[in-house]
Amino acid sequence: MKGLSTSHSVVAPTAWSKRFAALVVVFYAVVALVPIVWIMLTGFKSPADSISYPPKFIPTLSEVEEKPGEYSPYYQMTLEGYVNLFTSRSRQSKEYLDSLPPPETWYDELVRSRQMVITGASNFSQRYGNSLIIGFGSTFMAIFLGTLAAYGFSRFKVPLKDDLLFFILSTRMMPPIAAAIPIFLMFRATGLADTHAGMVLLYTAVNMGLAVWLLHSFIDEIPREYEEAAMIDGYTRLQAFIKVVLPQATTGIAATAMLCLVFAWNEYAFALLLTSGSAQTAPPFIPTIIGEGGLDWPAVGAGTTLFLIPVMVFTILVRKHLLRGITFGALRK
Amino acid sequence: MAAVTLENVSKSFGKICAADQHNLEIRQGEFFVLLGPTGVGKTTLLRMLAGLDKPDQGRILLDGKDASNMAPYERDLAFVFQQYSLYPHMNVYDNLAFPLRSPIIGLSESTIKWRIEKVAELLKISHKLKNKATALSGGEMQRVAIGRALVREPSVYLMDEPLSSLDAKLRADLRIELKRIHEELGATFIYVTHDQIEAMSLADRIGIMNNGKLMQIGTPQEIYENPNSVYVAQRLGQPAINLLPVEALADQYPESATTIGLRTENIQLDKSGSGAFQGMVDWIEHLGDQNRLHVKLASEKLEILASPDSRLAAGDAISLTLKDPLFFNSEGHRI
Repeated sequence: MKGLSTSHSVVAPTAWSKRFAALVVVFYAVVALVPIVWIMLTGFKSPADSISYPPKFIPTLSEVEEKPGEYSPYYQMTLEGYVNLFTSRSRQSKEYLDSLPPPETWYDELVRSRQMVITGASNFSQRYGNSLIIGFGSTFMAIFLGTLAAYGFSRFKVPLKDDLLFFILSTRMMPPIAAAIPIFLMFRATGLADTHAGMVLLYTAVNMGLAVWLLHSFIDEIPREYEEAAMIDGYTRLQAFIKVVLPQATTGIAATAMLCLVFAWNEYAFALLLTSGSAQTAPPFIPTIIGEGGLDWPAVGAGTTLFLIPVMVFTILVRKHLLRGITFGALRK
Repeated sequence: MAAVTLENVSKSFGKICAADQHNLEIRQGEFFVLLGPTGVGKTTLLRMLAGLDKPDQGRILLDGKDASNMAPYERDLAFVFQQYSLYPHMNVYDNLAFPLRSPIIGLSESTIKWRIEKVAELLKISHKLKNKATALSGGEMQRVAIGRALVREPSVYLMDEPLSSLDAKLRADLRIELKRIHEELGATFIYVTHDQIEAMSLADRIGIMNNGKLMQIGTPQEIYENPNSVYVAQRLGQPAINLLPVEALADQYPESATTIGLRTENIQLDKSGSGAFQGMVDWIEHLGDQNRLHVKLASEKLEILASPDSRLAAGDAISLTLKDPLFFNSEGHRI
């Protein structure tokens, strides 16, 4: 008989259900990616193209002929947004521009074609650097302290252990911003406002609850026998921790670090409230680009695109550790 | 000098007493087996020797030196855990090299390689050295775990039911291997098991444990022939010793005795009916090399081994004569 299968499994997915699942996933991915792709495309538009309606969304490298009354979805890619993101400019009269020597670089030329001259570098790279320092700094601190705390809770008799763990969890029970005013006052009184140390401290504190709880459950799953074996094999507890526990906790550490970094990197409200200059991060900075000489959407698109890169790279780097199942199997239960 | 000495060592977890006043001396080069069912404190005793648990009271001396304040790594002993506990992120070679690379031992890589090759050959795992620890069969894992203890060449080996998770064939093979290794190395072995065959075949001396107490210590022969209590008598011998109220066998018996213990060798079977007690074969288990008789004696039941050529069948009447039976009083002590 046709279609009769001798080895029919009730649990293995059929070819059709796999295809359907793939379709759902692809559909979701497309929907989720639209805003990200849109902002990336905007970064390469001219200011006029960025606000044209109906929108233009197909980038080309060649010049696009404009015919009045006729819609074309094509636009010519330009680096104007990126130039605007990294520079500050001022508008000048045609007479002044003509009196200048010919432009030395492609970006000078681009800016002059808009009747402007570059007056200096913008604050973007410095703000971006702040984001890197504060984001990765606080992630490192949260992981470092969180791993030690989680190991302590997992392996030693800590007095009031359950209460302490609950207290740590309770720090996540309200949105951190609910404590904004006391934190603002504390930061002002201690001189931590608008400092890197202050922001690292704050983000570390917010992330600690997550880090301790996640890592605690990961370390709990690593059997004590491994450390005990290492301690008998001639190592101190600290050495056993570094050589035996840490390598097996990589999965948990990678996952926790991801979550901590994403929080610290994207945090907007505290950054807006507590930083204004030397320690300001990129999230509160990028929207302020809008205010400089009209709505500069291409510069915002460019800034957002650059802002996405570190988290994307970090995620790809730790991705292989996120797959679980390394530690299981060598110890029979 | 004794390799290991315990002086009044006690330890309890909450209300459960895991070690009650242990006094024990284990000689250099001895194979000492702790025998008892699960949860009587065998593992706790090993862990205290290893320094993983601290005794509440008493002293442990290793090689005559007080070990109370020694960290595990200072004690010069190796531990084979019940569960394999190979380091899963290392391959077999690195697992075996791990103790030798420790700051305490710190051998050169060439010496380590030589030692590992020697041990791998002994345990027949040479071809597996490059494998991941997780990609081994149960028997291979356990051999690597034993190997990791052997490469150290410590003065004392502690083994916590190292063979319990293996199948019967492998267990028998490794048991013989362990005995041979012990004889070759001449080191002190302290071995925990609940398997009486392992205990009988490996031990120079056996310590029988119950509720955190060492009930009796002696050579396998002494303990088998001269158990000091019902509990100890029940631990050794297959089938288990038959325990009957003394009245069932109304013969001469010591005054305070309440229970009589009978193993196969204490009973003489006779088909003719000339023995002192009359019974009946209820049913027979045929095990090939021997038959296990289930005998009815008034209202009691006995298990007795018989040779297959005794030609008995279920329903046969038999008579029994007792030879040096064991008598126990109402507290279970031997009389």
